Amino acid sequence: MQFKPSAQAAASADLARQLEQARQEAAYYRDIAKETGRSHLRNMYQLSGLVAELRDIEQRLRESEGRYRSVVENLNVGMMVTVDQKIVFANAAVATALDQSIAEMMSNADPFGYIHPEDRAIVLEHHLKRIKGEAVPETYCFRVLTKRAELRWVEVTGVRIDWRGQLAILNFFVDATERVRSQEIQKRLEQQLVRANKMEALGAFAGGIAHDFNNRMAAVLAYLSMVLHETDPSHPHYEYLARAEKQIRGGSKLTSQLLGYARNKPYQVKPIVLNKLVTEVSETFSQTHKNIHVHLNLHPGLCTVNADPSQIEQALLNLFVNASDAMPNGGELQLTTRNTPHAAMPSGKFQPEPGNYVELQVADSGVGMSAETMDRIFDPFFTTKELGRGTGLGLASVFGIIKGHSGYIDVASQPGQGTTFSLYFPAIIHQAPVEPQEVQREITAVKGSVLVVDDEHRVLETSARMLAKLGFTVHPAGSGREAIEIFRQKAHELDLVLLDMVMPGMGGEEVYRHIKEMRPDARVLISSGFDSSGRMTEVLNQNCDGFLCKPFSLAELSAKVQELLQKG
Amino acid sequence: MKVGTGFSNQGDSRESGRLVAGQALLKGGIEEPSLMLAFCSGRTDAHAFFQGLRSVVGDAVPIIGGSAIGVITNSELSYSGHPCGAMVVQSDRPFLRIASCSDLPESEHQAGRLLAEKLNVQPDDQALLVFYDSIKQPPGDGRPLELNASAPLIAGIETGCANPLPVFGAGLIADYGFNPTIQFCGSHVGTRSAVGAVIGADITPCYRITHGCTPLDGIYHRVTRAEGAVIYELDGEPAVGMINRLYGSREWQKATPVDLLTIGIYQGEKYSGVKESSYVNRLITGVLPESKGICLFEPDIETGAEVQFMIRDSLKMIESARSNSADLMAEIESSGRQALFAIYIDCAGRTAAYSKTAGEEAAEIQKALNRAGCPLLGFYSGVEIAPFLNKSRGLDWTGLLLVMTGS
Repeated sequence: MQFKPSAQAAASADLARQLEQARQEAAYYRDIAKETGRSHLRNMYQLSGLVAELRDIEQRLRESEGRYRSVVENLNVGMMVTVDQKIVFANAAVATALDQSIAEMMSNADPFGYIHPEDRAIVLEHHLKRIKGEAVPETYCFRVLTKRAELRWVEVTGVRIDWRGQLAILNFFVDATERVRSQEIQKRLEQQLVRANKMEALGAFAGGIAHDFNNRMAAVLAYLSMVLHETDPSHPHYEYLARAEKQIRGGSKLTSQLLGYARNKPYQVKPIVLNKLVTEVSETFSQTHKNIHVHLNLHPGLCTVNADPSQIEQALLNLFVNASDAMPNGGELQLTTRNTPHAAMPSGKFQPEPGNYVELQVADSGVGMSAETMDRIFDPFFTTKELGRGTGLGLASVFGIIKGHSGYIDVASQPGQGTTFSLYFPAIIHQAPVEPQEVQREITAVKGSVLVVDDEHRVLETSARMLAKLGFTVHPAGSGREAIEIFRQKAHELDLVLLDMVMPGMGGEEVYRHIKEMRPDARVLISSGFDSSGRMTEVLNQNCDGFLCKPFSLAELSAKVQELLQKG
Repeated sequence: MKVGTGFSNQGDSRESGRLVAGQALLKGGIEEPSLMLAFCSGRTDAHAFFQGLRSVVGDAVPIIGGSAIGVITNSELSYSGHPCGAMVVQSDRPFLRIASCSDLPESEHQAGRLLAEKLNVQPDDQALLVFYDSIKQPPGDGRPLELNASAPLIAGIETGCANPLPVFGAGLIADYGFNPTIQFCGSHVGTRSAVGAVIGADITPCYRITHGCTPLDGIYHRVTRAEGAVIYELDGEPAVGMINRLYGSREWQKATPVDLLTIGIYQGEKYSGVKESSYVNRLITGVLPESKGICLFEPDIETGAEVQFMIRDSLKMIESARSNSADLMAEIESSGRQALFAIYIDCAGRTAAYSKTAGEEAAEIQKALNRAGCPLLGFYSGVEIAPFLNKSRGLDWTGLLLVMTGS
């Protein structure tokens, strides 16, 4: 088949037209594809930019969370979040404080199990109140028990927070163990200071009363002893007078107790080993308390102490009587002595001076006492005994005596568990103990001249009468100045001076010094029942010739005078 | 066969090596290790890391691997900090033969050939695994990045093999700055090296290549001027200017590698349709100074070639990882073979940080392998090597999931 030229040209033109149209369509679709591609790329680029920004924000958030987590995890303050009484978050500080792993805490069926049983109820109450929004202390302390049952104190501060849509409590824990312990020590020290101040005040008060009583009883006893001396024992009043003298001596013991507590009574200390004294006193005690079995556990190599045996005897007897009262149906009394370094002493109760101590322990199997009672047992006039049976001065006296020996006293007791008193005396190891000497009690007539000095006219009068009765020519002086004046005039006539220590104006110590300046060999017998200045022991230690404690009887005066005069 | 993996991300490189090796032995219940694969980031002191590995597995166990931008295991995935990972294999029978060569920069082809010759490939060998240094010359002082090309290396390997066999592997990069890399060459730490392993008859490698690129507009552009890995002109106009118009700005030039856009070479018949798996993609690693041209990861596009602009589609990328891994594991299961362990060689451009995706594509691989209970060690690489369209090729912006199976 052949095409005509015109038909061929027409077909060619048609093909060319179709080709051009196809080219145009291709260009058209190419442009569309280009535009679509560009649009797609630009949208993707924009989108990827947004995603990159989002990722950047996420990354910064993760870093921020990381920093926050790092802070929380490394905080030395414990953080714990509880929801519905379940621990949902805890940081390392809490876990360390409670000696548990975080996983252990989170999985614990009893999330409050770490709280001390006695504190659990109040902590739970605070927790529940805080959840309800009720008033509750923002911060409070309670005890916790670690995994190893170690007791610790924590201070917790709680706040209500939202935890993943749930009401929760965020608790901040601070280990307050050291602080609480410091506070307890501080409180104890403050209590000790208050007690010491109270004891000092009571001591001054008791000492003042005792001094006044003592002077009055000294006069009464002096008169009575003189009357008795001149009365025939067959006289119908002799028995009454003797009983009256006995009562006065009983009263004297009472004031002695008070003075012992007040620590104003002068001590005549000397090196002694407590074992012998303890044995003697316990034997005496056992004889009158058959239902109490005394056990001695005395250290054979016990150190020597500087002590006034009569005062220690007094203290021991008071403790024994106390033990006896605690064991109305009998029991065991364990007496122990041992050498103890200061480091082994209960430092929480007192701070002993460094050195070695002798410990004397008096332990009974009696009824014991409560902490409240223990807190007051050394208070004067405090007694748990029924009315009329106790003066409340026994243990106060013991306290004063031990303190007067620079010692310490401790007590341990629980109701039904008996009571143990521990007495600590500073040990000396270089002085040999001195054996006690028998004191002469018979009245012996003497001759000579005596200066008697006392500001209390009753005491001065009775002392002068007793001395006269002993055979002395008596020169009374009612004050220190008067005594110096008389001594100056009659210095070489006087065989003896009986000098009261506590006087207004020129005191006994100053008088003593003047006398010794005027006549160093003058014999001076110090007489006192009370030393408010606390310096009498110092005077006695200055090689004083002798001491006579008021009140004293004619026989006691006679014995002491004889002792002095025999010294030559 | 027993296999275990370990991962660490800490600054103390020796301790990191000790940790990952220890974890791998523990997880695999391994008492006598036969082989270790190990990868560490560019911030890791590779020698110290290697010593750490040796302190656990001893001196006799061959260690192959090297630098990686990041590491992937069954439970870990990281490309920040100091990521390191290792896989330890215990086998009753030898299943790998290992060799290395260090003259890679002189000639990739010669290095490939020498490597293959050392490996002495046998007729029943199943495949060859190769890890090589991607960095011929780091960028700097106005000098562009120079890369060791995968194509001549593979060609060299094929030349050196008496019997043709599939090649799998990776071009290693240590960081996004394209700094020098190291290779674990069996007995020592090498540089500028290639290390290879021949997989013996007992092991059958199964694999999938994950993609995620689609044509931007379907338009073919002719390369009118190219030298090595640099394309200067497309359709007779500067390639950079053309891309500027596509983006609508010059901002894209700041990113290395370039965001979103790749260069695609369609391996099928022109205009026959769009099949994602028929494209070989090349990442644009950057722009030459003064915007003279664009640099590609491989120097295998010559003047006269027809290319297309491809767009990296993050959704497709994740979907590709998900479907390919699931399909592969299902195929292995249905074949009755046992998945012994898996290696995932993932292009560093596919990380979420560089693909600007919310999720990690490699997480899909982890899920599939974890479902199958198959130990996984993966790493982020520069180039992925795998048989593709009947030929072993170097690929870009792909993920190669290689699962070693046994009967």
